[in-house]
Amino acid sequence: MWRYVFRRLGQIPIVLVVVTITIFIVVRSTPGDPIQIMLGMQTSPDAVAAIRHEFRFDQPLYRQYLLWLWDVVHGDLGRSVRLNQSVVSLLTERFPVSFRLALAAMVFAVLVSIPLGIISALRRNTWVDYLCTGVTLIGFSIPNFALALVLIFVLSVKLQLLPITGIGATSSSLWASIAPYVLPSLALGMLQVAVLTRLLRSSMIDVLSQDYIRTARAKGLMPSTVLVVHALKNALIPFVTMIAIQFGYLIGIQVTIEYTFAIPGMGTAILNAVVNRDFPVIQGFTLVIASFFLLTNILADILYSVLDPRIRY
Amino acid sequence: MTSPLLTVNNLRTSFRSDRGTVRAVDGVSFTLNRGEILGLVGESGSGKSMTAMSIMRLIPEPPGSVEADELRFDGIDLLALSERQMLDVRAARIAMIFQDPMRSLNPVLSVGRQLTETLRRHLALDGAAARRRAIELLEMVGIPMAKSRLGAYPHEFSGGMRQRVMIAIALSCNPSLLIADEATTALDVTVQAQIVDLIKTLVKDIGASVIWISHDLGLVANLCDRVNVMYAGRIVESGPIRDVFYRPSHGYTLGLMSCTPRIDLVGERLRPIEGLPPDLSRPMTLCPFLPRCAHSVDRCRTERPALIEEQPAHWASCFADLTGSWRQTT
Ligand SMILES: Nc1ncnc2c1ncn2[C@@H]1O[C@H](COP(=O)(O)OP(=O)(O)OP(=O)(O)O)[C@@H](O)[C@H]1O
Ligand SMILES: [Mg+2]
Repeated sequence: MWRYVFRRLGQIPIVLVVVTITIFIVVRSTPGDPIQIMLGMQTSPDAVAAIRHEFRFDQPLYRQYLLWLWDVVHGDLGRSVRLNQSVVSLLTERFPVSFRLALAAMVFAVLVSIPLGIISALRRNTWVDYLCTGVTLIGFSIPNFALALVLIFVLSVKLQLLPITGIGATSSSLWASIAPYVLPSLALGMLQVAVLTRLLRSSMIDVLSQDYIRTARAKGLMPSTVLVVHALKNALIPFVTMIAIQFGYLIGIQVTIEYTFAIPGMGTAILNAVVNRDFPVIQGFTLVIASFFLLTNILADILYSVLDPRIRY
Repeated sequence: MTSPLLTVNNLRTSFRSDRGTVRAVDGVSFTLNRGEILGLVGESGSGKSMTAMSIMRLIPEPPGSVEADELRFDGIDLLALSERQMLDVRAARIAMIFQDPMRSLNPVLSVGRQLTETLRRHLALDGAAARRRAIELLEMVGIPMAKSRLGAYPHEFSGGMRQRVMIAIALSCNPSLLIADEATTALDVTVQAQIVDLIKTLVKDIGASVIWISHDLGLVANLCDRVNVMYAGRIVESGPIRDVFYRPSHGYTLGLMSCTPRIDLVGERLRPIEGLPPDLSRPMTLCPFLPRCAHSVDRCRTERPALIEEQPAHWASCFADLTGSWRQTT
């Protein structure tokens, strides 16, 4: 088990090198010069050259990469071209916001999908099931920014229940610090609701038809015991694994939601970095998002083997 | 004579489906005496498992529906029980063992857990007492180092050992009736014999009656006192082993026997008879076996035979006189 985890952890650097080399090449081979964009056209060529030198943009690509890698290994992700800030400090500002938002979205998705998945499996092919299918279809088909606009309109503008913005602002009460997360996490988590409900429904249907469920019933166990101990314990194995995988994925896809709700998270930072060709920020953030995704995947594997005694790595 | 342990009278189990109503069990009647081992044979789809599941009231309704004129177990009218009351009958009074021991045990729960949950549920044993009893039970079914095996998961056991665990679970609350649905079919022959011996000894010890569902005619002949032969959801022949297997009175039973070279050989499976069983969603007015029967007479084509007592305690629903086809060995 631990040997397997260490082996998987050992693979991470290799994947990250491949990812970052790709990003390195892609961002530099698309048109647009970060320094030029920042300083405008009137600046003297000497000033531009000086700054290019400072950011090593005058060096050959492979040297730039190797130097960057050397710095990364020493905990330095460079400085933003645009912002007067190191990439690490930008990350420490932005990552917690995105992490909390992803967490809130996932908690919402899990809380909704567990009852929906179970009920639709138990009441399969009844109107309850069709209703759940309808909800998941909405989750799959509405783009999250559209859902965000609907939520803003209904819950904030009309009913005045929740604030639209406010994440990152200093707040007085607990509710005031939680409230701004509600709408974005609903909008962001809806797709996960759909994914997780469908998954739980199908794995629950599969489990309920298994012979060991018939055995459990033949033992005269309480229906709740059969459902929770015998069925759910099996059905949750793929479900929990999926939560871990989806969580890693959620960190990287918040751009539209952050933009809609003016959230100072990683998504808006990346968006600005791309617009301004802020290479160090793009690279640093990509590295962190990719690492996070890889780590949650390993976590998913660990969870799988913890939950299913048949799996031993 | 004491009253029978189980009386099944005109049991009808059907499933509503798109193709119409499938009559999986279509008027089955039999009795089971205390201490008796009753065989239930018939080809695949003949309704053996559905009969067992109906007695346990484990048929999901809907799509299923279970009706009977009488379903009486040890003086209890099973059909009159609420689902909640039925929970107290299952495993405590009527226990079941299924075919595939790998798939019948929950893969994510330890064997000890699967044993003790039954004990805690029915015998109200607390944790420590349930554990002690579970160890006793595992020792009783011949699992070595039982104490250290409590925490093991089903996949860590061999097929035969898993079936021993299933037997331990089934007999843990000293049931009066054990239904074994192809309990040894998935095991290889040597293990099969051990498991059969084990069940035979244990049910004798606790004084349980057994319904033994099997494809293995030789095994049924060796193990059972009486046998019911099922075809298309009905019992077509019923009686003591010697009568039914050596002097069959139904064309289907005779067909089964002539497909089986030696009945005294354990491990002899049912061989297929030419043709297919009828579609159970169609109403039947004649003998369901008629299209495949090699011994039909004119009367078979005009009316349906009823199950009648042809010899004392030997029932069959067949118009043909099969005495000429009996084996010379008897
Ligand atoms: N849920 C269901 N819906 C429709 N028909 C069903 C359903 N369950 C069982 N049946 C039908 O009931 C009939 C009897 O099945 P049963 O499982 O009792 O056969 P069996 O004698 O145990 O066969 P086998 O030897 O293969 O175990 C089958 O023809 C099957 O098609
Ligand atoms: Mg069966």
